[in-house]
Amino acid sequence: MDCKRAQNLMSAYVDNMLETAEKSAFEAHIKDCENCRRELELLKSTVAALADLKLAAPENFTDEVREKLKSAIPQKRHTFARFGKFSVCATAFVILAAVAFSNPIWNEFLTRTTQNAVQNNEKFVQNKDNAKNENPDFVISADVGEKAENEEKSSPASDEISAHKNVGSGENVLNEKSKSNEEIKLNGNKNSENISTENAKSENIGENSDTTADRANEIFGADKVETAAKQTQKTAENYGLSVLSDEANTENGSNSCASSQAEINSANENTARYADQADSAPLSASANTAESDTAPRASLKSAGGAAFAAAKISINSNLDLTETAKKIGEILGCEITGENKKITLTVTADEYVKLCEKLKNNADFDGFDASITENYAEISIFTK
Amino acid sequence: MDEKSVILRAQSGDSESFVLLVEKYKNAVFTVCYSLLKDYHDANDAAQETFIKAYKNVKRFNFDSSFQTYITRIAINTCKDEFRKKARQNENISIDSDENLCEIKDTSDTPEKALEKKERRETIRRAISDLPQKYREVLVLRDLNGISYDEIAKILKISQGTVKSRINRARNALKEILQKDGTFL
Repeated sequence: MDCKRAQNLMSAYVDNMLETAEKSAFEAHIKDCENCRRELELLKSTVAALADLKLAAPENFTDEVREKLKSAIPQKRHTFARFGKFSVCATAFVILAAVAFSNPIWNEFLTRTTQNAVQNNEKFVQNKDNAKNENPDFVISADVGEKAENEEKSSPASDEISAHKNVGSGENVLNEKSKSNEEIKLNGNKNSENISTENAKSENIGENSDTTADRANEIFGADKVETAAKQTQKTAENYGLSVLSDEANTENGSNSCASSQAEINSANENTARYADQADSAPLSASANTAESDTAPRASLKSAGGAAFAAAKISINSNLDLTETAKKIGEILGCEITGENKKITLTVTADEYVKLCEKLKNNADFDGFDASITENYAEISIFTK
Repeated sequence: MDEKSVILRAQSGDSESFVLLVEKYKNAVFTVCYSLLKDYHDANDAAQETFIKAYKNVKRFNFDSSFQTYITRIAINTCKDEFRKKARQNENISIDSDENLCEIKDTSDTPEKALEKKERRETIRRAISDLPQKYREVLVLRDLNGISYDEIAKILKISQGTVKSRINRARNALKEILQKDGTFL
């Protein structure tokens, strides 16, 4: 083990998170390397110093909360819970739509994949016995979609959604969309930040599993999720697009596109939902299948479409800053400037997809996660 | 009564049971909120709102993760909302030495030791406030609240690999600041 690797593993070692083999290798290195030994001691001191920073809540805290609880009522469980997500994904779709409609290829792609999604879901309805469905609410019906929409409008923001503050704008966007596609104003990425804190990945993250994502997983099972993903991949390939592969996402501990998958899944959930406005049944139905689609759709969203600032990706690179910038520039065929350990890029949707794909496979990069900040997006690459 | 029973009772509408949970987690939640918002009153508001939200949604909690994860995630999201609002209003959020802040005191300390600790805490708090939010987040969760890597991944919705590397980078960044500061002499 060399020093670089040892330093990467140091925190995990302190937290006892290393596998046996790795741990032994690390300890062997530490024994011989004074520099690393010193760093390890400093790290331990840092950790110890942090533990000291715990704060106590103010004195009347519990009493005040108790008072406030009296007027709070626990909400019932309901299926298509998240209002915020609803509006967020509506916005996502709007952004996507704007991109899509301005580009015939994407338009076609979008239509195709949503058709796929609807088809898949129709199959699901027929094959109910395949589903591990325990909750009758989940049965697709025309009413559910409507009901869910209304329920969501009156439900309080959930813990998952920080978009509740953006509900107003999301809602407006939603209404606009139903009026006229061409006239939609993009909200930029105001709501898209929430996508990054959104929803489960295709691995099961079960808490608050009323999210449709989780439910989709429960019902579809991982293999079905993959199949839909493969379908999307095929479709994408038809158009010369690369699609973030689902396999990468299902590996534990893999950085590749993990959070961007989360974004994709949550955005897709409602992207397909709006594919066909007139008919509620396929709407609610396809919401679930679309969940399993991996697609550049959400990535497009996070790239903010053609004219916008780029998506925020953190890339852990083995190269130094200049090299990283250069490398990324090569991948994208554009010039990159960097400062203060951050590199800022502006990319189009296409480029974002390409970048994700290439980064995933490139040995110099440890993978990345994607998250969106508020009014804009930037690709940040943190180096050591 | 074990925590699971308490939660089940809270889910059936027993708000007093939920108050037990408030008692248990209020310090951790407040710590998280303060580290993100860096203001005593904002942190207090956010922390209270966190519990209210958690109570409103408690029926959706299905024990797939720990309650701490559940509540911490709500706390972080609540703070992020607050934070975004404030960031627009106030670009330069600076950390002040907040007299209101109540550290968890070690009553066996001599006055000198207590003062020493207090100053040291200030230094570290200042250092943390200089870190990017992403780093602050993981440090608070991991080193202040002792949350496992796995649960952190769930809370922040990132992969475990990302958690690992981020924690390492965060701690190193903090370590560097503290070294420059002379804290580790």
